[in-house]
Amino acid sequence: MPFIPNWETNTVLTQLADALLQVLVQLSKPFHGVAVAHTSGKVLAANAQVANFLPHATDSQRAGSLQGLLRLTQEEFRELVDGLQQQRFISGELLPTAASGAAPYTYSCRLVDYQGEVFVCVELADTSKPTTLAPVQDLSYHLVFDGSTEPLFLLDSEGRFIDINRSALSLVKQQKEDLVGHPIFSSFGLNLFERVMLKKQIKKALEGEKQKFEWWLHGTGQEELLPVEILLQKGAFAGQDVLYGAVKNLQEVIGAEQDVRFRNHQLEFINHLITNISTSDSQYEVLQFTLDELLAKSDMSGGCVYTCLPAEGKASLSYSAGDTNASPVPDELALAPELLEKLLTQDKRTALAQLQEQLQPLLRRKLTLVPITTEKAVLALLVVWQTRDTRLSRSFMVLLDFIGTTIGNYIARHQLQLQLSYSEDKYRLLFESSYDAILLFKDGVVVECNEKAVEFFRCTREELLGHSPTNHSPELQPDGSNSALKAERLMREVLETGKPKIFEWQNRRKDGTLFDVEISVSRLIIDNESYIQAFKRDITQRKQAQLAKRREEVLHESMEHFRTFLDKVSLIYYSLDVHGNITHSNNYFLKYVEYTREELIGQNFFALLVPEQERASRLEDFNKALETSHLSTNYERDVITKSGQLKTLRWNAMFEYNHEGQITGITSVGKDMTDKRIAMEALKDNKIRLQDLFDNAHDLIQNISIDNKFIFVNKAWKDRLGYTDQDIESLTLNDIVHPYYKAKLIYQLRNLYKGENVNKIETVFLTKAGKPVHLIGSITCSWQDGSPVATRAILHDITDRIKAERLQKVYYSIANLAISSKDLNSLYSAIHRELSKIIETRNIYIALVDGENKYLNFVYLVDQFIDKANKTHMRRPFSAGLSEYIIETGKPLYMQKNDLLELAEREGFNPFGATPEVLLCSPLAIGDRIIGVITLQDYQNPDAYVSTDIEILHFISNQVALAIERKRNEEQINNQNARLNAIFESGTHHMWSLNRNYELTSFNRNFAAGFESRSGHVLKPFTRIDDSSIVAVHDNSYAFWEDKYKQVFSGIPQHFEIYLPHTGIWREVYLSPIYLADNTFEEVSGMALDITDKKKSQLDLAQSEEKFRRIFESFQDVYYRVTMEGILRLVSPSVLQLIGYREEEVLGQNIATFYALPEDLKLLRNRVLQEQSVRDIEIEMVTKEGIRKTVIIDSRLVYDEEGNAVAMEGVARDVSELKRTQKALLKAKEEAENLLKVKTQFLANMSHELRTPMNGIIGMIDLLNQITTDPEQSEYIDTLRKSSDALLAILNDILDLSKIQAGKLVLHESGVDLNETLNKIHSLFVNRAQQKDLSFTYTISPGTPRHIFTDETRLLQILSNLTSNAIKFTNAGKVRINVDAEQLEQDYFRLHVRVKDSGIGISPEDQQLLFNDFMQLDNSSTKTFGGTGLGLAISKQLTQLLGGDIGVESQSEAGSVFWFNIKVRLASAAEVAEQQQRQQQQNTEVETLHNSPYVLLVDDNQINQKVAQKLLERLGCITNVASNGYEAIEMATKHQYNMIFMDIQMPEMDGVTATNIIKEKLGENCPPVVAMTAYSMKDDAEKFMSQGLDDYVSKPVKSVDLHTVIMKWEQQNWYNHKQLAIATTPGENTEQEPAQAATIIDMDVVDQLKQIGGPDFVIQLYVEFEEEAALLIEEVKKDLQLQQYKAILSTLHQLKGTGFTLGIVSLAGLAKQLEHDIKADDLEHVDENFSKLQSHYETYRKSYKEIILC
Amino acid sequence: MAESKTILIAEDSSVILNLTKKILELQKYKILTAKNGGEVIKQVENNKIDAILMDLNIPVKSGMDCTREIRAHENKEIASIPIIAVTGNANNYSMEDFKEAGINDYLPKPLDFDALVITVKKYTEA
Repeated sequence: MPFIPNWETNTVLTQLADALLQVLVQLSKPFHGVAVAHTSGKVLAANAQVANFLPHATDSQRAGSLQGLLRLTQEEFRELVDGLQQQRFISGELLPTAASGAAPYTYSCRLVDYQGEVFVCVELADTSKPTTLAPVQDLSYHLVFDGSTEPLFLLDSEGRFIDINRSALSLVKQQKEDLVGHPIFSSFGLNLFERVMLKKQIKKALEGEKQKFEWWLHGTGQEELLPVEILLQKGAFAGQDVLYGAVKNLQEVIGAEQDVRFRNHQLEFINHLITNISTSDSQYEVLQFTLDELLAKSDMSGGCVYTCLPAEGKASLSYSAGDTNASPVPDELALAPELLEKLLTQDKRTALAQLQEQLQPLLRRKLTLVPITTEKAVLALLVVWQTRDTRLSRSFMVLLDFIGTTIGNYIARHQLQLQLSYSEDKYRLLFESSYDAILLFKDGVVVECNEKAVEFFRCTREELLGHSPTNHSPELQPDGSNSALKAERLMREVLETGKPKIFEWQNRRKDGTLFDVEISVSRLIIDNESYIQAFKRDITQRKQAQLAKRREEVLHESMEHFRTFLDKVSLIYYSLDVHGNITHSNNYFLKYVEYTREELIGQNFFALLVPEQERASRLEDFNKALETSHLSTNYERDVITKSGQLKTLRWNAMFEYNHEGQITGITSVGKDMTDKRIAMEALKDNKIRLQDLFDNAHDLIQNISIDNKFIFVNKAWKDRLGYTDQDIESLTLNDIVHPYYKAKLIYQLRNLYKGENVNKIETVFLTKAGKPVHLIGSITCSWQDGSPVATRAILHDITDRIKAERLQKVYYSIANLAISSKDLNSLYSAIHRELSKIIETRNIYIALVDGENKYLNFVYLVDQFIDKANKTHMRRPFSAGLSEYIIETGKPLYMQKNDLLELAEREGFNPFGATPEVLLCSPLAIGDRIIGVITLQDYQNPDAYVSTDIEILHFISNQVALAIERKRNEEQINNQNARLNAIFESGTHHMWSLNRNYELTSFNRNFAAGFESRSGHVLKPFTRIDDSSIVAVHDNSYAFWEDKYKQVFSGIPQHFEIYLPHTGIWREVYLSPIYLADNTFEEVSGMALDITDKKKSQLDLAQSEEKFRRIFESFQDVYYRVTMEGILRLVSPSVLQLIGYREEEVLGQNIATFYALPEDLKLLRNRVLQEQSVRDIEIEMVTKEGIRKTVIIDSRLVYDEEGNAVAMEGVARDVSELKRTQKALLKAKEEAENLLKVKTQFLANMSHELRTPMNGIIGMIDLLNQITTDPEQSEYIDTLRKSSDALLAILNDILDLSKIQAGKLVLHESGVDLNETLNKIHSLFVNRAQQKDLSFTYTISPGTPRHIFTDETRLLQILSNLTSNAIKFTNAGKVRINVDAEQLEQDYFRLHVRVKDSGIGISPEDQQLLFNDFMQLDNSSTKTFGGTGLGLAISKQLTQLLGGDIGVESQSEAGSVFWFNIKVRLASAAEVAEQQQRQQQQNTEVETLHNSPYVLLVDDNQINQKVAQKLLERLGCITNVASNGYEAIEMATKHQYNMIFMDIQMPEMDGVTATNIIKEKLGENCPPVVAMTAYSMKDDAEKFMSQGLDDYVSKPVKSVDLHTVIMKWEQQNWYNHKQLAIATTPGENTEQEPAQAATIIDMDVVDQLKQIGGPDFVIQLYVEFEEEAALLIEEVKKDLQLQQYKAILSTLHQLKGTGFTLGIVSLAGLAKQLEHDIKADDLEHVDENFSKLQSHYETYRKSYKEIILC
Repeated sequence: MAESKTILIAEDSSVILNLTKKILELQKYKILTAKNGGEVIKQVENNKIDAILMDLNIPVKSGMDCTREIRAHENKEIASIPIIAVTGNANNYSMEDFKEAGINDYLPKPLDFDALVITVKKYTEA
């Protein structure tokens, strides 16, 4: 804490100095003394350390001034100050003085300007230590802080501002004075949420976490929020935790970002613009596009373009866009040329401004001008504007400027280009539009060409330009000249002569096609250069037409040549057209077929000349030939001559074509072969004879031509191979040689043809069925003219031999297969493979039967019809199939399909599956045993097998069977071994065997592993178990084992368990002799099982048994078991404690001995037998001492394994003590309850008794208060009133609580206006609060429903309890009620009410007691605070009744918040209306009633009579009093009272009875009877109402209540009905004007009407009434003047009816009165009443609108 | 109500007339009005009417007279229209008077709106 000298100083200066000191302290070392002094030397502030430098008590005086501190004289000090003013910094050293005895210390002084004041700052330090002030030039901290552009501030740990710099101040727009010292939370108008948030951040920052968060500052006025980023960092200042804060204005940051982004946008925009306008062709388009883009991409709303015409001094509108509707843009603008020129100079800005000023009025809007300029001229003006009159940003102006020049330059450049290309274009247009191709040559190459030329050459322009004509011409032109030469010559000629030339030329395109052109060339001189211009015209088509014609001619000619030629040779020639008609023939042919030319030409060849049987097929051949354009070049065909001779001709044919290449016919040239044929046939005859010879041979003889065609084959050949003669004709050798043997045969033949001798050929032919036939034989070749003509071969069929050889091979290989195959499956496949070598095996299966012929297993099956993927073995029961048939008969079978079906039918078996065309089936037999079948079958080819094949199959099948059997056995053995091995090796068993030499003959892996792991050696068979390497390894010991083995070898099997300590494993070991067949044994087997688990659980079991036993023995309760007969078999030792017998004393006894009551036992026994298990059966037992004990028993049946009940067991517990306590408790409870009842009753009674005197007291005070005028008296009365009110409140409290406790409090819920309720509370307590100078406020949070449905009285009661407490316990400050709500569901809310005070607070211990009955916290003798102490208890009960809770949050001395919540429902519209009406009534002031009701008051109590009577009279009632029921009845029947107030509790006859009698007597004329009772509860009231009373007021009666109830009944129109009676009742009040008091309009009626038709309708009704009534009254008036009374009646009647209908009661009442009087001829009051009626009408007319509208 | 029924209100007070009309219109009745006895007869003859609310105290022809005339009408349909009398002076007439005239029912003034609706319904839905 700063040490402040006890001087009187300027407080402002001191504060400043203090602040400065705190800064300095921050800068200096903690042990340095720091002081701040006025320039006069007066120390204004110093830190505590300064004292350290002044150790003596006397020194403390010196601390008051710098002079003292630095031990300077006044003079020296002034020098120091002067020095400081020059140097600003001075330091020195102070030597210790003799007096001080202190260590020497240094000081440094500095002058500091701080907050406009100058201070001397001094730092004191030990000599050795440097001071901090020294290095600091200028007061850096504050300058830096204050001068920083970054907003900075400093907060203390409470969030109060310590300092804040200028930037920050300007950001928050506040004065420093307003902030420093104040919490940040309250400085910026933060709302609750913001405060909480900020607090959280500050708290976190104070915890050391640097906080960086976005925040916002509320601007003043309507400014928007200013987003900021706040950085809070913890630091220390003046020894306290502080927060350094920095603020960053996010808007600026965002602004800067936007600027950059905008610049980018501008560049993008310009780029976009330039890219896009490059497609535009004119200035107009460019500007239009620019403007459109500008409007689209900026917030300019509209614009237009004016093209400048400086010469004419004007600009004309060329385009406008966007928002031009507001005011049209003029078409032309007058522009001073000077001004435009100025735009191009330095004065551009001023010119633009001038221009803008000129144009703005013209265009009637604020404009921005963008001149589009080139260097030399202003081209146009771009004018833009925006809807909103906002300033354009600087950057946007720059953009516009930039656009102006960029576009201007662009346009200028564009225009220049346009001009340039203009002249060129004209020429080009002509050039391009020419129909002819135009080429311009210079120096022999193309320099220019038009589009057409490109088209002509079908190439690109580039491919033409720079090339000479020869590049695009064939080498030679059609006329044979060289293209290059010719072109050169022609060009030269044209160039020289200048004469145009026209010639034809052939060009070649790039794609190689040729085209003919007509070229006209001419010379052209441009710029003194000679060019050749060539026009080319395509004449290809013309050329082609010429060519075609020529071709036709040629064709024709050649045909003619050909025919003449043919005519001259002895060859037959004819031509047919496409229809087969003869078109030409030579003479030879004519002669040959004996027809004349005329007979032949034009005839159909086929009809005329082809033998009938061949006609169709030859015609077909002919047509086919035409169709396919394919002819067989030569053939032999017959023709029939005219005389019918058949002649054979050998023909050559060719197609005839027309010049277009289409077939027009067939020309045939032929040679007569008829003679040759005859010769050959003769030869054939010879051959046939020879053939007979051959045919009888067994060998196959064949004669084939050199081209491998069969010339001859003998019968054996045909039979063996199955071909017919016909087949042979079409076949060649190639077709029948087996492909494998073909190459060899051909090779042999070739050798033969070469003349080599081929002795023997061996080959294989295929039969027609495709079966191979092995042949061996000799072949010879016949020669003719030295060349081979044909061969002859004699072949011997060796197929069978080959087959047999193969068969044998297969037989052996199958025998081998059994050994080589790895399993059965591969054996089957191998058999299949082997079989296929000798026989067709497309479909094969092997089916095996089991030993008993039960099943047939298809172990191997390859079948076309059975999916291969379905590899699972098929298996079927042995039934009646083909296979079964074979197995049963044991005979092989070869069958064709039909035979098979027949057989199947005959033998009664069912050939399963598809029926094959042919099958072979053989049993697989081993000796006599048949193990299955093997079957081959073919589904397509019946010739696949021949009958001999079955022998082969059968032959092999034996071997197959053997192989299968062998393999099967082998596999079985393997399986058996595997299984045994698996058993041997599996599990955890150890197995071994031992011979008499104690050698291990075998052992399993487990055994070996066991040994290995312990000995480290691999255990080898035939190791002796006493071998040194393992002798130590035996479990337990070798001796142990040796002994065991000895015993086994002596013939005694061993079985023992052994524990292996090293592994913790238990083993069960079996050692048995291995008996051989002769009952001797040489070996023993050993087997060890791991039984650790079993063993363990056995041990565990034993342990748990032990445990159980102990529990059992220590049992508190008694466990017992009895037999079904009741004999005790088992009992826990605790039986001693229960009944005093020892365990052994009771065992074997019948349980009945110990039961006090035999029926208990019977009952227990029966229940257990019935229910199996029972609980908590209470019985009485007798102890050894004969004392009875109450015991409860749980018992159940015990069953044996078969499920028979064998015993009963149970647990018994002594509950005698418990029982006794229970009884005592029950008794105590009853007593307590009785007491409570008595108390409640007492309180209820007492309250009634108390109320009656209270009634008198309060009533009289009320009256007194009304009549007294004396202020002193008034004061006394007021005290009386307060005391009695307090007394009544206490009474009510007591009564309430007793009600609540008795559960008799009933809620009376209704619509409640929450605002109103709180208003009530406020007005109730505001005075009390003001008296104590407390502020008392309430708030209702937004969102809290205003109209709710609850019990307002109770709500008020709670509220007032809490509020009165709060005010009571608060002596200064404020009391504040806050209400808010939370929605629970649809219409339900939880209302939270908090009553907050700034009072004395409540300690947590007290808080717990607070809500208890009769508890006042302040039980001290002083007891400043009065009250019953019931308030909170009642409130608690009430909140619970209202579905909520109540509580308090408080700290002693720090005020409390009492809160409660209740569950409420939103009030319905009807409830709200009801509430409002009630409220209205309540609001009516207690005023004197004008109609002076005539009232009967019934009360037996004198005091009450007096009170009530006086109260009523003060209200203006005329009151009669009855003192008991009888009197009441008498008076009520005698007089017509308007109302009867009836006390309920009266002697002799109570109020209810009296009322009923009165009602009975008066019937409908009975006035309302209002109960007056001290039973203030509403449920009592309802009881009375149900008993016949009409209404109710509570005692003590108050005028307000009386007034309300009278008004209430009056409003319900009793008054009107009774009015007449009153009027006629003699009495002083007849003078009263009854109508006056009646309300003008009954609002009930108005409301009802409003509900029917709405407010407008209602108004209309009353307006109508106003008019109608005026007329009626006028009528009455007239009639009255004429004394036409009867005539008045109907008018009055209408007035009355309408009046009552609209609730205009008083008026209608008067009308009724008048009507009544007139009818009764009582005309005395008619005039008077009529004038009243008139005045009533006036009143109505004046006020009805207001009344209705309210 | 398949088709709205037509009620004729005979009433010389436009206030009551409008009020009654409004109430019955809310009940989806079609309303015809007559301000005096003459109009009543005209309306009855020109329109199909399902019930008449007849104020007895109307000019030209009283409600009682109108009722008698209607009951005596040659057109059976008209003669059988239910007629409900409305009067503030029920005391002036006895039920016998009403019966004699052919009045089916009566409503006292001031009008009880519920009773009005119930009574009209009773005679139009029968």
